[in-house]
Amino acid sequence: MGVDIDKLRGAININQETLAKIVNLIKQVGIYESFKALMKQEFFRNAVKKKLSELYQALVDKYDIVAHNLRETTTEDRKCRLTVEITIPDRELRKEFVDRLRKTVKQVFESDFSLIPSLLREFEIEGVSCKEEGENVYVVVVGNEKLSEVVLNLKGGGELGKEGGESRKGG
Amino acid sequence: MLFKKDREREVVVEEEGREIEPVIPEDLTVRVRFRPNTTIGWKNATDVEPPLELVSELFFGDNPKQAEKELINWFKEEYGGGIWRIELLNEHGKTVRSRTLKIQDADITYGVNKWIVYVKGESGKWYKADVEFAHYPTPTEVIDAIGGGGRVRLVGYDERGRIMTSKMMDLGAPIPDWVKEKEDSFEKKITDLLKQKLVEQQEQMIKKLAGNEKKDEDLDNSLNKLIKELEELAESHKLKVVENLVNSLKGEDEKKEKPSLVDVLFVEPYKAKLESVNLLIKKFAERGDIETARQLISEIPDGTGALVNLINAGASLTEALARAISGVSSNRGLKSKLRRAAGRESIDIKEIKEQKRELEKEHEKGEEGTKEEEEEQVAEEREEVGEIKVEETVEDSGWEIKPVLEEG
Repeated sequence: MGVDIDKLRGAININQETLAKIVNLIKQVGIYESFKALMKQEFFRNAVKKKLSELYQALVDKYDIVAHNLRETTTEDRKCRLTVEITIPDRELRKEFVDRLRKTVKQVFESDFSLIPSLLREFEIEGVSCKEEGENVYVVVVGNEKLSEVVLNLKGGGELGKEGGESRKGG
Repeated sequence: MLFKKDREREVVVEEEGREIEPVIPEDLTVRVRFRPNTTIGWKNATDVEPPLELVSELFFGDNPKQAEKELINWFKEEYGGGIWRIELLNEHGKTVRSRTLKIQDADITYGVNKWIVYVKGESGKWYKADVEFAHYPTPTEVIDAIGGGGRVRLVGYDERGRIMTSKMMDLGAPIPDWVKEKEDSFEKKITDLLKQKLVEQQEQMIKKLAGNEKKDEDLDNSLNKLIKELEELAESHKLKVVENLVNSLKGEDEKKEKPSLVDVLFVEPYKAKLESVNLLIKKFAERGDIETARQLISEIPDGTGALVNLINAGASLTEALARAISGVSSNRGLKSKLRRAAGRESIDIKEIKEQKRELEKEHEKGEEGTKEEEEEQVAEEREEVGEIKVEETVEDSGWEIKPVLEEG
C-alpha cells in the first residue's frame, strides 16, 4: 500500500496566523524544547507517529525492507551514536537505497536553508554514515543526547512487557 | 583456560637490521574474560585468543590506543559486542595488569546458546513464540519460524538460562495469526474502539490541515494547548533571564568574572551588536523597572529569521524525503505558503524594531545623553547563520558525510 506524499506534506499546512504565532514562540524556546512541548500532547504525538509510520511503510514497500532496528550507544567522548540496521535482501534495491540516502543526506546538508546550521548546532550532529554488510545496511548518526532523545521519542519503543498467554503451538 | 604466548613469537625478530624484543615477559599468561553487561558476572572466555602482538602492544607497546582500537575491531568481528577484559596473570595466577574493552556498537553473540523470540501484539503485550534458535537468526528465518512479522524481540540466553542480550526487530510482515487469535479478547475490542476513535480524530485533523475551512474543536484545542505550553516556556525563560540579570547587578564588582546577559543569550557574532540593548536593559533593571527590562528582552532579535528558515528547511527536507521515496515532483504550493509565512515574520521584525526605537526615544527624553550609537547598532541587527561544507567519503561498501559548520 502506497502513501500519498502530497497529503503527508499537506499535513504541516496549518493556517498562517496560528503558524506565525507558533513559529514566534518556537524561536523563543528553541527547537528541542518546542519539540518536547509538541510531543507532550497526545493528539500531535499520535499524528506525528502516524505520519512517520506511513513514511516507513512507503520505504518498506519501495525497497522490500524485511526488518529494521535502532540502537543507541554512547561514544568515548560522550556523544550519542544512533545506529539503524535495515535488512534489504535484494541487492539492487539495497544499492539503490544506499545511493539515494547518500544523495538525500547530502542534499539536506548542502541546501541553502540556514535552519540546517541551527539544527547541526543544537543537536551537535557530527555526521551520517552508511555501510552495507551482507543483507544489512547500517546507518549511523552521531549527535548529542538531545538528538538521541528526539529520535527515541519519535520511535516510541516498548519495553519487554509481560509475556501474555502461552507459547505458540506448533512450529 | 589460559593461553601462553606462542613460543615462536618470542624469538627475537630481525627487521631492517633492528632488533625487536618480545614484549610480554615469559612468566605472564593472558586471560580473556567476558560479560554482556555490568549486571552479570565475569565469565572466562577460554576459547577466545586475541592476537598476541596486539595484546603485547596494548600493555607494553608505544601505541596502546591504536592496539586497543585494533583489538576492539578484532573482538567485534570474531565474537561480537559486550564487555571484554584482557588480563595478564603472573605465575601464581594473580592479575598483574588488565584492560577492559567495552563494545557497545555490535550485537552480543558470545556466550549465547539459544535465542527465543517474542512477538508484540497490537495491544502492546508480548507473546512468546514456540521457536528456538541455536544461532542468531536472520529476519527471514524469524518470519518463517513464527509465521509472520511485526515487532519482535530476540532474547539470547546462556547455558545457565541467564539473559545475555536482547534485540528488537521490526519485521516487514503482518503479525502472525496465532498472536491475533490470542489477542481477540474483550480488552482487544476496547483497544480497537479507542484506536478507531483516534484514527477518526487524526483524519479530521488532516482534512483540516489540508485546507478544509470547517472548524475542528479537537485541533483548535490542541493548538491552543500547544501555544499555551510554548508561552509558558517562553515566559519562564524570560523570567530566568531577568532574574540572572538582577543577580548579576547585585554583584556589580564581580560582573567581569561572571557571564553577562549577552554571554548567556547569544553566540559570539551577536554579542557586539547586542551590547547596546544589554546596557539599556541593565539601566531599567537597575531602576527596578523589571517590566520594561522584560519588554526589551523580548525584543532582542534572537532568531526570528532562523525560525523562518526552519520552516523553509522543513519543506525542503520533506521534499527531499518525498523524492527519495517516490520521486514525485516538488510541490510549489506549500513552499509559497511557507514563504508567505516568512514574509509575515519579516514584517514582525520590522514592527518590533519600530516599537523598540519608539520605546528608546521615550526613555531617552528622560535620560540625557543615552547611547545613540548603540541604538543604531541595534537597528542594524540581522540574522546571521553559519555555512556548511560537506566532507564526503564514498567507498564500495558505503559512505560517510560530515557537515563542517563554518560560523557566519
